[in-house]
Amino acid sequence: MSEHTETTSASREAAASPHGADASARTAFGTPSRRAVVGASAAVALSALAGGAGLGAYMAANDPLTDAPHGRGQASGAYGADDVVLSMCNNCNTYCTIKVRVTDAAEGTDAAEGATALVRKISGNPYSPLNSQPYAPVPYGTAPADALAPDGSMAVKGRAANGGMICLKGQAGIQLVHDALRVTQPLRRVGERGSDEWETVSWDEAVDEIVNGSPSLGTPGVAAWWAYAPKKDVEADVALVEAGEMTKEAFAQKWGDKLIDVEHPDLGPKSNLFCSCGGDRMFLIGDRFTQKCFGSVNNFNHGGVCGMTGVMGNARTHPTTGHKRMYADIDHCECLIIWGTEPMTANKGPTWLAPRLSVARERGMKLIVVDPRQGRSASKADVWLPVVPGHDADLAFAMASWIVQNKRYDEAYLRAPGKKAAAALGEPTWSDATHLVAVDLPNRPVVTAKLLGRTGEGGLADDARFVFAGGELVAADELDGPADLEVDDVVDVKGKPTRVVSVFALLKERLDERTIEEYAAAAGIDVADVVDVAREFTSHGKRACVMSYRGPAMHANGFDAVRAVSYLNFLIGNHDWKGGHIAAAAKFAPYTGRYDLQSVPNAHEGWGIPITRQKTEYEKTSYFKQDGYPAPRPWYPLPGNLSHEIVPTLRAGYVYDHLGALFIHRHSLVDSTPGGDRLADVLCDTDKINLLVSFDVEVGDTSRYADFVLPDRTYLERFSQEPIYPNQQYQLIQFGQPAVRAYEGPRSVEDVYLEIMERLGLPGVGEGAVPKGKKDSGQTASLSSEEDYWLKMAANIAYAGEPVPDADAEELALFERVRARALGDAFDLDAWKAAVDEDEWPKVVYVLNRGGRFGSADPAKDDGYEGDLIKTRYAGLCAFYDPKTASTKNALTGKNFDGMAAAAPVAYADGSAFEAPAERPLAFVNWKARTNGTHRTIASPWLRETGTENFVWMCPADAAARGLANGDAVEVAGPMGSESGHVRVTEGIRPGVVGCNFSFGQTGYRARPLVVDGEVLAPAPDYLEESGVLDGDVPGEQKSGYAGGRGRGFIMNELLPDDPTVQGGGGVCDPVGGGSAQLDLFVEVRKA
Amino acid sequence: MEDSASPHWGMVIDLAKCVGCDSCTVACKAENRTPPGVSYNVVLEQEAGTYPNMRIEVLPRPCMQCENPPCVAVCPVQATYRGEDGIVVIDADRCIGCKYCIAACPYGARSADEGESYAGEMQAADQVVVPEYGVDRGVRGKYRATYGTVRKCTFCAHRIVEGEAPACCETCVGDARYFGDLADPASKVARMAASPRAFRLKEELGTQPSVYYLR
Repeated sequence: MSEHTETTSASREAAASPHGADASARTAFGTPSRRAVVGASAAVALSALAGGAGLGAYMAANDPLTDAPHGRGQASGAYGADDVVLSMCNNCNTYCTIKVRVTDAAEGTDAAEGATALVRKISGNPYSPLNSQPYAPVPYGTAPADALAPDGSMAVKGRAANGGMICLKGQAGIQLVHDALRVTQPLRRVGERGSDEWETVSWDEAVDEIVNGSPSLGTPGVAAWWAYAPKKDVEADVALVEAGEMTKEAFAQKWGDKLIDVEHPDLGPKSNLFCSCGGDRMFLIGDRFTQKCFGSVNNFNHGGVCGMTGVMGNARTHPTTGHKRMYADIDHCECLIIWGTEPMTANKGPTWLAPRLSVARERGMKLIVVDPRQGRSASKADVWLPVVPGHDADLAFAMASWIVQNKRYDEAYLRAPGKKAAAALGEPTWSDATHLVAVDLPNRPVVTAKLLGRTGEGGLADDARFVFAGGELVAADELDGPADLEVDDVVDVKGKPTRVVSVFALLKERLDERTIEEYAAAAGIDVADVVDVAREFTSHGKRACVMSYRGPAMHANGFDAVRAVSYLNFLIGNHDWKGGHIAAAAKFAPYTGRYDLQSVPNAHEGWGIPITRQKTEYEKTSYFKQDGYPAPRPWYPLPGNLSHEIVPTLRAGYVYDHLGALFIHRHSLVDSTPGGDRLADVLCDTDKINLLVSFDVEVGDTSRYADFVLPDRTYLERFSQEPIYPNQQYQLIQFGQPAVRAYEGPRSVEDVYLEIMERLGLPGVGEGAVPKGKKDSGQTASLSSEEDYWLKMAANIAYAGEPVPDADAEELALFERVRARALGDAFDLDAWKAAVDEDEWPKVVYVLNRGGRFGSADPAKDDGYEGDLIKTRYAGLCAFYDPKTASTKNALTGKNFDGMAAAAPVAYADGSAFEAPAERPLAFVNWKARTNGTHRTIASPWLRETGTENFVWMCPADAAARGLANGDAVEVAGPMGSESGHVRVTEGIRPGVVGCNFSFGQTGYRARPLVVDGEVLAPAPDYLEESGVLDGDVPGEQKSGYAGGRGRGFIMNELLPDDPTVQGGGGVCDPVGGGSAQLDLFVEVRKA
Repeated sequence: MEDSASPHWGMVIDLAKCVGCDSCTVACKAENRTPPGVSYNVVLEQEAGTYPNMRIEVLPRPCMQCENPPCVAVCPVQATYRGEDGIVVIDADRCIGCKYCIAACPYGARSADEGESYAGEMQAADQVVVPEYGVDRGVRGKYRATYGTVRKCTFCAHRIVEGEAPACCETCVGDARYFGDLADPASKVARMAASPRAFRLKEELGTQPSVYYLR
């Protein structure tokens, strides 16, 4: 050993001497400082010179493995604040904060194809708590130059604080902005829709033909049919017609040009024939542009094919605020049940959730994961519960039954009937366990002052609920002590004796419909495991929680499953408690303050029936009068954003027989909606969709059917903001902004909308389009460009609450230097400054320089908490029973929905059974690939290297029965046809269940060739094929390091069944939540 | 053993925390801009047990930066050697691409750079070249820079110089990957490497990796 040491230091001296570096030239890290740098060529020359003598010395040494430095220099590619734009990721819907490091593109236009700069590297924003868990981020007041420089402590601390974490999708953004196959000029189709042949047109021509019609395509312009009528004017005349004071003919004469159908005035104005479907920025493009400027109710995000049923399950159990998500305060939780979601690699999102889960598990938190397959989260669990798909409610009821039977619930919590009684206990929320339901009355209403005819008595509001306390009927909110939990009694309702039952008694009755053993058997979980988990869950006071997402929700019984899972949280009363259920989402208000970005002067307020028949009670429409029960397709009184309903609705021609224009951005119906390419019949039909415009960075699977594909900027080239984070305790808002401009042609979606709106003469664009200052101040500001909107939002953020400081001269100069360098001529400082008031500008820069605004977020300081409570709270009613749901009806059967969750099997829309047929016995589940976030991320070969296709998971016994071995080519036969894939034989999935991720199988994005201007553009490379790895990567391994092409795998959505009980087909949906049931599918798998 | 003036760079990967997401893999690709077919870091996966008592286990694998590196022993031209800071260096100017080292590495951490490129689907794909081992080798391309040589994880030597952790450690969303000076007993990695949970891959080979895992 001592010899080794001597040799090492001897060789170091030998190394030091030719380089002339002495000890004083060394930095704290033991490496020579840049003062001692020699150029690469010089280093080579030196090592060549030293070669003769060096070799002899080397051979004499007894440590032949350590050598004097050669081939080693001091170039580091060092960077600093001048090279960084702090922004927001877009590669899944988490929208993490990011640090985008840029580097100069090579000189000459050919060298970098018009890029103003190149993205060198993406990491996490050091200011943001979303990228720094479990460590405190850099304080918000820190100057960017300091925040973005390493502090010299890495060697000891193990990390440097100047860059944060970001997941693989975030890392891969470089290849999305610098995708060489991007569309850079507007494309107009050649031939029929779906011909895959295009011609380039100018922006002016494209916009003109969208507005005024395309002579070559024969598509009508929006101007040709668009018309608006105010709701109150139409309704006033409808009332006249109904009163016999106006003839139908006179009504038709007056409104025929404005309404879609004078026979159905409630359908609304023709402006509703404009439909916008988007994957992001819908507060602007949907809520403002489409709803208030175009005057159309038809604007949808992707919620219906994502979390909508879960959202409704949560919203209806959290009616005080309509809180949408079920999350846990991971940082203090002692027992976490992750139910049907994958927070370590997906959810919202891995960068925020995974490190905290890691640390919580290290601290000793018990982790239980409910999932039929072992994803990454389940692989870290103490207990894995591989539930039978679609039987989540059974499992929840099995647990709830044990908890109730053994009185393991928090009785004091459940007996508090209202805010006052809860406060007396120190509880921030309360439940409806003691509230009364009039079970024999129509719609099974909750007993309220209105029902009892006691409104106004002692100041009681209509909706004041009643409970029994000590056998007396009293108003829930007036009690400051416990109410009776189990009530089955008779009260006088408007002179009639009426049976009332407490919600808790109804719950017990519901749970008692089957035994624990029966529930457990249906869920496919051993009773002993159910009991163990239920006991563990109820052994940590408030510091236990279930968090859940798609798994239980995306079934045709998902609304009830999510409600049933929620009940577990309610039974222990964990809401708003440290370590319990978290509902926090404290923002710095982006839409109001300095500028009212939500209001449009002289707006066309959209009204009428949406094409998705969402948020509409069938019985209140003219269509009910016309058709009665059963309706041809379901109506959805509660949910919104049911984008998957558009195509089947048009196919059926029900309510809407056509759309005048469908605009789609950052969303692919084909890739995300049940049916996949089966949507093509409607998308290609110009009678059903007169004009189809898609904003895309390439020609994607849905853009393929468009009349015009308008090249979109990637998120790294534009502004953005998205509000979604009800799972974090810190106050923050992320803000996206351009970091580079990779190609000159593409424009932001909102910028194009503004131009179209201006050409159509719609309100909400140009001078005076944005109210300024306090409400009714009379002041306005302009909205003429994208900067106009986003920088006003930045001003709102900067001034929210206590305003941020002004950026000082150094920061202002840094801001300008960075953008002039990174954006080149795409940065117009004067235009940016003109978007806000002069005095606002330095504060706007302060926010932009930090990529958003972040409150103090130091776990060590207990930021985000007040004692044992989470600071930003739900503070409302946790509802086992929902009278709103109970009062609405299934439009096919006319039957009321159930106010309380039931553990019912999945069913079609008309209630008929949806079971596995003998020839397709395997339940098929799907999940998001950890390597993909949206359909756009397929363009990154780095990501495709880590996951080459969506292998079909199958357990060894099921594989053996079918003669399948790992990696075999297979045919997956579903109810509507079959898909080709490869099988991954694994112990990590429940027998009888198969599945794959849903993130592969695109045909667009140059997975296939494309013809533009007569030229055939080749598909993106398939590196596996080029390298002779013809069979692709072995499932479960990724050793080749080669990416497949963009089209590997299959579109899982195409396997999903159409609901045979409704006109027009379309996927099976939850009848209440409205979300598509993408986890209800039975298949057979055969060797291909 | 080590001279106190020189750090011994080391990495600790906590397998109990690693979520197997491959963020390290992609961060490495983005930082080092390695060509198709070359991944300095991969995440290996294996299954243990049978359903339902089974677990899918993952293991990220960078270069182990061995103190006794078998790859170095077989290099006929001394292109690869162990630097005093513990980093096993490849001198691309000396490397003749014989691939003996690829065969010798018991960890599969080395791969051949055949000059492939992402240019078929990535704008300016070859313009960004990382100064590996601190040497700027100019624009990438066939017969230029590292073409025809063997490549492997450098511990992001160019980042360490600036006081930044390797890209894989910076980005690790499992909070599982740490970097620092093993020679400094006060460092986080030295303390973690001393944990009873610590082990190194194929310890029996005597390669003495500078990458520790926590089981």
